[in-house]
Amino acid sequence: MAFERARVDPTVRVDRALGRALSDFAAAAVRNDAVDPVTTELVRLRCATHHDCHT
Amino acid sequence: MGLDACLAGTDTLTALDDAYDAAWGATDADLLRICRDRMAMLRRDGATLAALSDVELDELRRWPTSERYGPVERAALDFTEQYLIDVASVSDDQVAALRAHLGDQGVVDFVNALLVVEQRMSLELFFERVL
Repeated sequence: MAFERARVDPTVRVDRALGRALSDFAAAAVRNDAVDPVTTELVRLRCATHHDCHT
Repeated sequence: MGLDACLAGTDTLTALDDAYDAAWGATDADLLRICRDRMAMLRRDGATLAALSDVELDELRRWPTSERYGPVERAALDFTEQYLIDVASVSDDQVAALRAHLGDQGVVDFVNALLVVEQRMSLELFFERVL
């Protein structure tokens, strides 16, 4: 499902402490090499589809 | 094996703990707790539900009609259920209902906090049930 307009003000940014913590967690998860690269990429793509994320 | 044991000593666990703590400070903690408990109910997260009384469980189970919850809680619970079932199908009306009570900043902070809480719950359940 694609949305042509934002449903909240797109200039609003998440709470600074939470935003920083989320970024740090994402970076730590990416650095974690316990799972092989192919499985990691499959999971990433599956999650992106589920969240309608186009990264 | 639990999440803490599997990730013990890694910076991933530290970062996840930090994000979890930050989530509760970024939004109304009481509102987030209600939504966490409802997610726990739908996910059958026994550890979280164990802290609730039978009355609390019953009220939460029938939140659309329970007098325990007001319009803000109902908007948040409705959003949370849709988020959990199919996040890509959260409707404009569900966002608008939440926005009417929390404002734009409140919605952004609540949804990000909900993401962290849901993510941690999913990971804990995965590590307990699958590994």
